[in-house]
Formats: sequence, structure tokens, C-alpha cells
Amino acid sequence: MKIKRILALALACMMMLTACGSNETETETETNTTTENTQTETETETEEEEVEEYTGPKDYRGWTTSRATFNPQMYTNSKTIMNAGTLVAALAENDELVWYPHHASELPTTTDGGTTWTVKIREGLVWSTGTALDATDYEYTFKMLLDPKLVNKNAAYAYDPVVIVNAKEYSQGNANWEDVGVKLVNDHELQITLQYPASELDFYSMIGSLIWPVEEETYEACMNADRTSTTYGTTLDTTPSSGMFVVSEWVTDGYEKFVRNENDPLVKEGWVKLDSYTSRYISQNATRAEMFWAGELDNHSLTGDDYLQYKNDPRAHSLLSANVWGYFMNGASKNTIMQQKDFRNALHYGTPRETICEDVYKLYPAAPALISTGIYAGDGYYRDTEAGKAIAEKYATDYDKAVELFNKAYEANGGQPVSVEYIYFEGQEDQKRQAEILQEHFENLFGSDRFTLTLRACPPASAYDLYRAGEYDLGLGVRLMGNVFNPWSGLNVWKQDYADPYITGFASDEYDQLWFDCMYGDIATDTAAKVEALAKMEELLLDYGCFVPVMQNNNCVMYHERVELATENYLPFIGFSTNQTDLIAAA
Amino acid sequence: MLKYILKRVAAMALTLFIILSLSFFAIRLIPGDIAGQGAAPELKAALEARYHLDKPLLEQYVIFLKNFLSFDFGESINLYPRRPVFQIIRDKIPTTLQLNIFSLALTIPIGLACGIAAALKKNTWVDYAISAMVVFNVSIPSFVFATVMQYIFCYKLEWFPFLLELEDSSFSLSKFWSMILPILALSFGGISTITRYMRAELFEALNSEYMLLSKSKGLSKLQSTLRHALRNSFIPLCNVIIPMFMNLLGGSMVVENIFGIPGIGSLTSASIQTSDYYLTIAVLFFYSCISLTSMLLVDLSYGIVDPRIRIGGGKVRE
Repeated sequence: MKIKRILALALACMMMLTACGSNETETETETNTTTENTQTETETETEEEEVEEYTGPKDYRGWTTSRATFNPQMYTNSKTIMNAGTLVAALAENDELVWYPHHASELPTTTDGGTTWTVKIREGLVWSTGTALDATDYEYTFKMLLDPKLVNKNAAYAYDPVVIVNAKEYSQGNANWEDVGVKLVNDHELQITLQYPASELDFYSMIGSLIWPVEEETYEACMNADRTSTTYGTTLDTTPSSGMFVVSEWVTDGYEKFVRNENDPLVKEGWVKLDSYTSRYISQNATRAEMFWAGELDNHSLTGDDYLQYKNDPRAHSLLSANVWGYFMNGASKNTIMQQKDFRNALHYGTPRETICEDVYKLYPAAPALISTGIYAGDGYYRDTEAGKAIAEKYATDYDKAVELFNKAYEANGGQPVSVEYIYFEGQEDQKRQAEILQEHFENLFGSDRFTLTLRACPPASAYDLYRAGEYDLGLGVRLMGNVFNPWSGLNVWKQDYADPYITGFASDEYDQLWFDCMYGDIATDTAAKVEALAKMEELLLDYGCFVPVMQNNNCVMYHERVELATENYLPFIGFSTNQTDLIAAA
Repeated sequence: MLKYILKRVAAMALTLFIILSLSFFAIRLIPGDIAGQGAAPELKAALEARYHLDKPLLEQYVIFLKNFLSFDFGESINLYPRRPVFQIIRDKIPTTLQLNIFSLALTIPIGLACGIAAALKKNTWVDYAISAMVVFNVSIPSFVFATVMQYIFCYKLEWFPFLLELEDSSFSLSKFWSMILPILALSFGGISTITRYMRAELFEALNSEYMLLSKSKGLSKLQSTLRHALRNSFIPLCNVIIPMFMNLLGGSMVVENIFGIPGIGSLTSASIQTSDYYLTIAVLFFYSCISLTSMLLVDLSYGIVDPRIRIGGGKVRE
């Protein structure tokens, strides 16, 4: 009897514990949403008045999942940029992206069509340590960034895609510093010479915005004896700041705090509203979600069901990814059916990308083309151009066409049942489900008696090694587009002379020539011609069938009611420009 | 005894060397890209040259050993670029240590008390309740405890902060308050383990013949339990409790991630995932040192707890 009583008691306790869980979550969440929406509707006018009046502390409470270093030559993310100044700042003004001189006293200018650039540095700039910041700091920065012994990860910013004369050669130990196209004219002026002419957009977005200065005194103090490594930016003491914010506190993998830099020219001009920005290291999405709903964080990334529930909430804002995920197709595979272009195209048209996005990823939109909607080309988004739209329409999902192409390939292959292997990443439940959807869909579409898709799980690194070796048929993955303003740069991975290719069998002289023309040739500064060329390059890749685009991994961020963003529109490169965010109420 | 310790230390050094070598070769077998996906090929080549990865494996091993023996443990490649790996581990230990000390201070007395109570009240409701608690704790992973506690006590009831307080480097009441949930999450497993061992050992001791003898000599139940049964029950517990002390230096990845604790717990997996070779080896070496030292201490403790066990003694004289 006693045992029964104890068991009953334990069971009751567990039921109570369970009751505290899921059911209450749903009820609470629904209640919160309703309440918040009602409040938003009924209190708009009152809030507007309060916005004007709020003069309390403005500490933004953000989060991050990693903080490797504050050395701007080794690591990049938006928070690193926050405390590091640049020659040119990308800012949001009237819901548009504007380029504004930051450490430069005026926007860099060129007199010979984009090859030689003059950069004038403001007077009176200072580091957070109190030492003066001038053109000599930038010259030193370039020298250290490209130092062959240091092997800095961001060295390529000086030669890819905008090529400073002899920068790459110097970084590889094949040139002297005197031969590099960075010359100090005087303490407040630099002259930068490029190997190929660059447009203003390219120069501002690369050299202007991605070369963060380092402070010589600290950098040298942190250097080891044989000058092969520096611990600059690895602790608070070794992290001087020169940006709109100064790093004031930092516990590695714990939290970091930035305070407004009153000496910064953009702060003086009123571009920055926040007093400080505190960022906690929170790796668990569930913790972030609970903290956000409890009002302890000012933003939170929505995922899965949360996204479906709140995607239309005015506080939710979509962030466009620069990348399109899909799967590589190996036209050079030993599997003869893979060598058939019609077969590869059949897979492209037959891929149920819309179903995959709806059933699995929820947050990600389907993408029928290689270049994402977050990529800028010239004056606007590439996918909004006529050429970009035409490609997306031409390669949109079309099951009838897929079956037609498959039938042709099937006959050409001798009418024998075909089997191909699809590699996906191990341990990723979403990608496993994507693979299973593909498997079921293709076998239904083409007939399971004629087509079999076998699935193979691989760790991501092993999968990419197989793509490099060409030992695969189909393989999930992505080629990252590094620069949102220069899609041509990221498309170099499909060139025949690219040093680290994934084998797909694609090789096109026409493609290579178009790439060169856009990057460094006759049309390098002709935006309209480059957009047309970009569409042609995309068409060549899709027509061959080396990669099947599936989805664009967008993000959706929900902001606290007290956050007033600097722009309502998502802007390339700066997103919603966190540096310019304002807080209109207390936490 | 000293001779025995020296022998064991020498064996430890050999074991560490083997672990170090195996780690070196095993990590090289893991596929990965030290430059990260999407990195320029020339950067990848330059980084491989910098870290000697372009050389034959045996040559890499010789360079690695040479550096290691001169106490140059290398620098982090990806996780904390250019930061010496020794410094990374050293910086993370205090937070982990602080938390684990509190956890242990809770785990040992509660575990012992529950184990003793269950053994003394065997087959009563006390025993059943404690056993149910043990089964509950053992069968539910710590991350579930941590998540549920965070949800209930931080989100719903708002009694505790979500994350460990880090803003104040000195120890304060508010900081301790923020440590309570992680301490509890870390303690449940240990409490159950100690309770289980203690209950089993003490129950066996209570039913042994020397307990009958002690009672017949006129000792009360309390006296005989405290003087004889408990002491004998502690011998096997050395195997459990001493490694717990050593594990003060090791963190829990899951609990640290959930409560935002910048400890050492997630260093191993993170360094492997990012192909951070030197950091991975250093962390494995660190954990190996802890394990081997705790094993040595466990063996030595037997002789202290139970005088009948003499370690490292010479041949038994006829």
C-alpha cells in the first residue's frame, strides 16, 4: 500500500510539473500577443508623446553568440565594427543607405576614373587611449594587415575585390612595402593606388568601410619577439577604440559593453542616440526567447513556430541573407545519368523548394536562382532588376518541364532505372527532413521504378571535402557571397582557375571572360552592363546545372517596443543600423 | 609510499604522453578547414604554412612535441584567434571553479544525508521517497533540469535572473543569487550518485557481523553506526567523491550554455568544431591531467580511510 501511495504522489508531482510547462506557455504567449497588440493600438498617441520626453539612460540590451577577438584584422562582425572607426561610414538616412566620411574629412575622391584615390583624414581624431589618430595610423594598419608573417584573416580586404597595387604580392612576401599602392602624403592624407579602376561604391564599401585602424603603440606592445603574432584585441586592455563606441567592459564569452565615444566625429554630429550597448553571450535560443518575452532583451531572432506566429507583428523585421542554399550537382560524376544536362535541369525544375521552405524551414523563402534578394548591384537590389527577374522566372519550379527533361535524359541513358546519391549534413534535423522530402518527391515525380534517390549523412567538413574531390552526385551546401555590393566577386568560385573549387564539371570561357570584364575589365564601372553580365553569368550556371538553389536563409528579428530603428527598410551591409538605434522608453 | 607515488607519477607522465600523441593524430584525422568556409584559397594556404600543416604529419608531430616540451602550447587558431591556449584555459577556470565549489558544497552533504537516511530507514516511505528522487535525477539529464528551472523560476516566477551575473567581478549577494539555479542544476546528478552509493554501502555495513558484535558489546545503534558502519561505508565512496573534487576544474557545457556562464565547459566541443587544433589538444591534455591526478588521489585515499589497505608496501613477511 505504501509503495502505491508513494508512486501516486510522485506521479502527481510530475503531472504538476508538466502542467507548469507547455499548456501555460501557449496560453501565456497568446495572451501576451493580444495584450501587446491592443496596447500598441490604443496607446499610440500617448507613446508618441512619451518618445519626445524620454531622457533617461539609453542602454541597449543585445545579445551575441560569439566574441572571438576585437582585433579588427582577424575577425569581423557587426559588434567589432561598433568600436572600430573607418574611413567611410555606412549610415541609414531617410530609410536609405548613405556613405558618410567618418575618419575621412570628406568622401575619398579619384581623378583618373577610379585608379588613384585620395583619402584625407580629419584633424583632431583620438584613440580611446588618448593618442592622436591620423593618416600614419592608417598607413601602419595597411602594413600590418598585409604583413606576410602575421597572416591576418582580413588581409584580402586590401586586394579582393578592390585590388591595391602589390598588396597581395606583399602579403605573400613577394614585394616590398615601398611597392604597395598605399602612400602617406602627409599626416592627414593618404594616396591609394589600385591595379584596376574601382567604382565609388566598391571603394567605399571595401577600402572605405572594411579597413579598421589599429593603434600602433598597443599593436607593437602585443607583438611577440619574432613578429609573427600579436595579442592585440584579445583583452580589454589591448583593445583601443576609435569608432562611435568604446569597449568599456568585456568578459570573454560572458558579456561586453560599449559606451558612446564622445570624441567620435559622427557622435558629435548627432548620428548616435544610444548611451551604451550591452551585449550578453547567450548561445541558447530558448533562453534568449524567454529573456526577450520577459522584457530583458531588446531584440530576439524568431525561429520556427515563433516566426509563423509573429511574422506579421510590427515589431518583427526581416533581414535578407546574402546567401542561397541548395545542392551542388556533379556533372563530372562517374554516375552517367549525372553527366546528362537534361537530367540535372530536371532536378532543378523538379525541386520542391516551396514545399521544403513551407514544411521545414518556415523562415526561409524559396529561391529559384543563385543570387539572393539581399544582393545589391549598382543602385538597387539585383533581383529587382529586369534581368534579375527574368532569370528567376525562367528557372522557377516547373514540374511538367522537369518530367519532360527527365524523360529525355532517361531515354538518352538507355532507359535503365537510375539512382543518385544525395549528401546532407549529419546532425542537422532540418536538412535531414529536406533530404527526405526531396527523396519522396522525386521518386513520386519521376516514378520510383525509374528513379531512386539514396540519402547519405555526412559531417559538413567531410561533405565539402567530397565536393572538392568530385566524389559525389548531389550534395547540400552553399557558396557564400561575401560582399553584398559586389556579387561578381563571390561568383569567382565557378571560374576555371579558382584555387579551391567544388567539382561540378562546369567550365566556361564565356563565364570567365564575363567575370573578368565585370571585375576589372571594360565594364567594371558600368553598372548597367555589369547587371546584364551578371544575369548572363547566372544563366550560364543554371543552364549547365551545377547548383540547384533551394532557399535563402533569411533571418527575422523582433525588437522591443522601446526600440526605435534608424530605418524601417532593411538596408544592405548595415541592416537596420544598430549603431543609430534609439530607445524611446525605459526598460 | 613515496616510492609508490613516484612510480605512479612516472606512469602518469607516460600516459599523458600517449594521450597527447593520440590526440595529435586523431585531431588531424577530423575533416575541417582551419581558414573557415568561404575563405580565400591563398589565406588557407598561408594559414596552413603558419601552423606547419603543409608539412608531413610526422614532421608536424616533431615540431608539436618540441614546442610542447618547451611549454609553448601554441595559440588558438579560430575560436579565439592569436590568444595563447594556456591563457584561454586559465581565464576560464575561475568562473567554473567558483560555481563547482558551491555545487560540491551542496552535493556532498545532501548526498550523504540522503544515503544515510535511506539506508537507516530502508523499506520505509523515507527510503522510497529518496529512491524515487534518485531515479528521477539520474534519468533526467541536467540540461532538462536547467531548462525547466530557468523557465519556471526565471521566466514564470521571476525569482532568479536568467543568466549568471558577470558585471560585478567581486563576489556579492546578487551574484550568489544568480548562481543558485546553475548550482542546483549541477548538483542533482552528484547528489543522486552519492546517495545511491551511500545507501548501498551503509546498508551492507549495517547488516554485517561486526555491527552485531558492536551491539552485543552494548553500543547504541547511533554509536555503532557512527563509529563502525559509516567509516567502512566511506571506503568505496572515495571512488566517487574524490573525482568530484577534481572535477571542480571541469565545466558542464550544457549548464554553462543555458545560464550564460563563461566557463570551460564548452571549450572542447567548440574547439573541435572550429578545427582549432592547438586549443583542442590543450583542453584534452588539461582534462587528462585532472583525470589521472584524481585516480592517483583515489588510490592514495584508500590507505588513509582504511588502515588495512597499505599501498606500495613491500613483500608480506612470512
